[in-house]
Amino acid sequence: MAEEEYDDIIPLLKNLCLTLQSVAINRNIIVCFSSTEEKIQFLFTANEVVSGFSKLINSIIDYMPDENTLYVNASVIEKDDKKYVSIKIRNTGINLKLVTALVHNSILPVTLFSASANETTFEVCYLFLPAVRPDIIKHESLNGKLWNYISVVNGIKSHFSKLNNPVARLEETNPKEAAFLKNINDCIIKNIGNENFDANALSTAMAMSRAQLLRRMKSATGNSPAYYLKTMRLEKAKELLETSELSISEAAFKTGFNSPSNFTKVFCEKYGITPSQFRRPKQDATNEQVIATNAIT
Amino acid sequence: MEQQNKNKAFLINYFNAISGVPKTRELLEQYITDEALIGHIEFFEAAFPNYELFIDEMTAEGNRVIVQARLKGTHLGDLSGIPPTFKTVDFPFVIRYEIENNKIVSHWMLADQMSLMEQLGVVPAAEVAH
Repeated sequence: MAEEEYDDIIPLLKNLCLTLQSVAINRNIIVCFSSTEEKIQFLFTANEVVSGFSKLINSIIDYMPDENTLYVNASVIEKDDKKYVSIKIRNTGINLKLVTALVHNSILPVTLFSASANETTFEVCYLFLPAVRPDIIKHESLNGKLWNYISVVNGIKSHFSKLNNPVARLEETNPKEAAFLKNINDCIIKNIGNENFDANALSTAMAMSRAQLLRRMKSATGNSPAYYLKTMRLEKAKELLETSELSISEAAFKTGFNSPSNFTKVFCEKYGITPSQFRRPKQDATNEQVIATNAIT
Repeated sequence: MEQQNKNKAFLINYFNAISGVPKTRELLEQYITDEALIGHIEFFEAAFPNYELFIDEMTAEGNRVIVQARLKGTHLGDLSGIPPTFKTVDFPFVIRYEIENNKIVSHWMLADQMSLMEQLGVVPAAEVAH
């Protein structure tokens, strides 16, 4: 059975939100973490927090309409002469007060805090137990949960990538369409740096008329070839920003955008944030890097 | 995917709009074109006025959404010949909706009627258990 440990909950929640943001962004859902405190150190069960919050936030995102925001805020509050750690999760776009399963199925002490026409706020409250022995605070304690954390992160990534990867989805239901879409993807990737490679060029490369290509792409993905092409360029650019040292201009040119300003405009329209906001400071560029850094220090 | 998410959001908004309030035909027609479903809701509304709905699970595929939910209400009106018992019931049901142009156009539903009858005291609990 997992034991309670004295630890700082802020990095745990922050990393979880970063992970969820990088995947929820595919549905234009932004996950924002904030805290009124720099550190909130108290006795809690880290495994329960990681798996409980990832499941709860994941479920809320599943119910949210696209292009909305989920805010996670951690603070220390005082009630009846007692201190509590309050973690509030607020979603925009829909009132989820009747989705009682979110509260009932959670392993966390979660309650519905407030609800309005298009928003819901849930609250997870822990009794704030201050350190009895500050010397027991160990930086390595987070690393102790590393494997569990990575498995949760991978679980979330695989869940979302399957939902958002049309090839993987089609392979289960329509292998022929999946093979067609894979050919399209290969063709786009081969030409992704070519700014002149548009829907016309794609139909020529696939030896199809524009009308044929439009019909098959609509059936396979629900989108037009031009939209799909633009989305693939943006996804590749996002990947480059996250995993390479390339500047924003270089990432834009490498993915076929004719100018950095056009790239920033299109990126903003799609994801709701600018490429420079998306590219986080080097120390927490990706969650894997955060974990790796934590493991080393 | 986008349409499925929109359908799920539509149904949550529909549940929010009709739960815990009088379910008038005007209100229902804002969301439903399926006459059978409207009739069904009016039947339960007569027996359990202002009944509440809670969502336990929701799955969307194509233009269909399947909801596992619960109905909570107080038995204040006639229910197929059963006079009001003034008891509060909370029973589960599963419903499949078909949605077109932001309207419910057809449905299929299965409710745990044994649980309902047991809670109303019409069927003894022991009899249900055996």
